[in-house]
Amino acid sequence: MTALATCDNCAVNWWPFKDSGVSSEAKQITQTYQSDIEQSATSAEYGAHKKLIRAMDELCPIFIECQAENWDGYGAQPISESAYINAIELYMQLPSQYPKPDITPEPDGAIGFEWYLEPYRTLSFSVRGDNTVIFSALFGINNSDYGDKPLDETLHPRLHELLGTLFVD
Amino acid sequence: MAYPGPVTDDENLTRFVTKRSQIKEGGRVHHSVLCPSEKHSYTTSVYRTDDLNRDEIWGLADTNIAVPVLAETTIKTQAVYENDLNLDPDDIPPRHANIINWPHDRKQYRSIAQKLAAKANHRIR
Repeated sequence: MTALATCDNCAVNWWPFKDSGVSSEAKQITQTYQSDIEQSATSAEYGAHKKLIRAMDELCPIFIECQAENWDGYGAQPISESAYINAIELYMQLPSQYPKPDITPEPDGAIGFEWYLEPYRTLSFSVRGDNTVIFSALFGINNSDYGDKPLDETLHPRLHELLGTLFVD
Repeated sequence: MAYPGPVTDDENLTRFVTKRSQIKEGGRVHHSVLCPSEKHSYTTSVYRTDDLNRDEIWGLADTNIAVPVLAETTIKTQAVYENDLNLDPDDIPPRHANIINWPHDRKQYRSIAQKLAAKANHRIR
């Protein structure tokens, strides 16, 4: 194995370091990381690894299906590898106490994560490969919110708060 | 299929869906289907289907959409106007129209698409 996780279908390796997917140095670091996990993984690390595999299982088919231009017949932009990697990173950051989102390819080349309770109670995150998460939410007929937050190492507090609003209020 | 005439506030506008992954539990269609196409000058392509039956609507899809159509989502023109959008009924091909006046900002147009989807009716083929 040469990476923390490799998708057999799309051959994209997920690297734990941003902007490092192609350098030999990054590969060396990742191999070390992989080895560490295999040899002395804690249960938390093992859980993260399993979550990563699940992320790839869910996201890879979307990435493969929507790599070509015009994949929806309406001129959709292809899902880029950077959008796919951003989507995996976001997936890994999602808190486990909330239901899994619906994941959807979006015509502007993004990958969307949606929690839908009813027409006016829904939350959506979207990533397109620029390390930014765009969110839009409906919390009632006249209560909507939207914006963007950086995709950092952990889920941005505002995004966490939105999930809490959707599921707790 | 006859030209439907001038646009009214209560008219049905149908967007066809071509990807299984855009159709959610219960036949709901994901709101991004209604987002404008950046490639096509920030417009959303729809068809005016007010006086058509189911078979005629699917026939319209088969005639004009290059890939197999799996579902449709329909909104009212009133919802378009409520969100400060407008409709350009170019009738090319017949019954075609574009939802126009979308903001170019992704955050804004996704939020509007979410509001349109909340009022939409969906149907799987």
